[in-house]
Amino acid sequence: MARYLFFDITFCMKKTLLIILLLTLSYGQSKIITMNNDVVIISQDEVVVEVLGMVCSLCAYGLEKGLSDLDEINKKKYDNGIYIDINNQYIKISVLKNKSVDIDKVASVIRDSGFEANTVFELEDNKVVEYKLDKSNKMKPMNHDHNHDKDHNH
Amino acid sequence: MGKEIIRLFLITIFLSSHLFSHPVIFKGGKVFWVTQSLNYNDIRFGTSQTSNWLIGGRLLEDRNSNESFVLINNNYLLKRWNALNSQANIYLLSSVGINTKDNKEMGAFGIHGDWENRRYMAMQMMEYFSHNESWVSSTRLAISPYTVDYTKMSVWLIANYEVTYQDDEYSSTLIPVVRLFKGNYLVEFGKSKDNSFLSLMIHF
Repeated sequence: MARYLFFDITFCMKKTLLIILLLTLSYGQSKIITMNNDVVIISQDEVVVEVLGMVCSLCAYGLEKGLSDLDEINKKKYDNGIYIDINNQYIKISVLKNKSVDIDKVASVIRDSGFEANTVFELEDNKVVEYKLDKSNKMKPMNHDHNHDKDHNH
Repeated sequence: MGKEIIRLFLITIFLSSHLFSHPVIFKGGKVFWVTQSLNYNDIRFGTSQTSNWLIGGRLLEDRNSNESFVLINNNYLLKRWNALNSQANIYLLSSVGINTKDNKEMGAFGIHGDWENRRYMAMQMMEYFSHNESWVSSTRLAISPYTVDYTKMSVWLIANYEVTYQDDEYSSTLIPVVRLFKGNYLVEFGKSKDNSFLSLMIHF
């Protein structure tokens, strides 16, 4: 009996937490994406990049340094505006409010740091837009229409 | 004669770039590296002009003979393969310089290949040294006992095996090495029966 009661309480708590998470995401204009084995929350002022070859923190130091030098980066969040997850091979870039970061510039800095930007995600009008490198080494949106007012660089 | 051969062998070993685990770093990045052993003091500085090319200077002091070498290093990333959770590289290496005691010139040329993921690393390098006409093969196999995130300290346990071919003779040495790194700092410590060394490196 106690076991079922415990199960019910646990189930209710999980459900409540899920509802709180969904409410928070809808209020704060955030979305959930999956990155390799991790669930990643992407918000309106962030860019998430899957980075190939990022195998050690010593190597990834240049990545943090190069990206945090970009003008549009909100250095107050994360470490100088950059969150690096080596275990799941992605980075999060915090962008200043009402600014947008040039995705091709981000890919170029990542390349100069010795790695490869495989996929880039950003939120536009609360929709996740996914970019991939094309043959001319430019990031191209995979699921994007241009029915929005936000100024961005592509 | 025997001592001279040992001395030349040790010079070859320490001129070898086997400890230089990151021959080229990020564009505009700088690297400073100090190694001290029972026999040598070695100071290096380099800057990556591009993500493919690092140029730098090096001062090497032989503590036994009081000889010093001044060298210019050029490391070039020939090819890199970036994959999910792993990276492989091929580098070309060269050093030219002089012995400050007698101004005798010397040069070293080599090729370096490596592959690593979050747990394992393999490295192979071949180098030729003009001052004593020798070849050195360096092999490193390494394992990281655990994986950590970006902000924590990484630990690598490395078996470093070197074979030198000189005057139609082979000699070899095996040095167990422990590598620790956190952020932009790296420390390496190696100890064998006959030798030991400590290296400190910083990227900035």
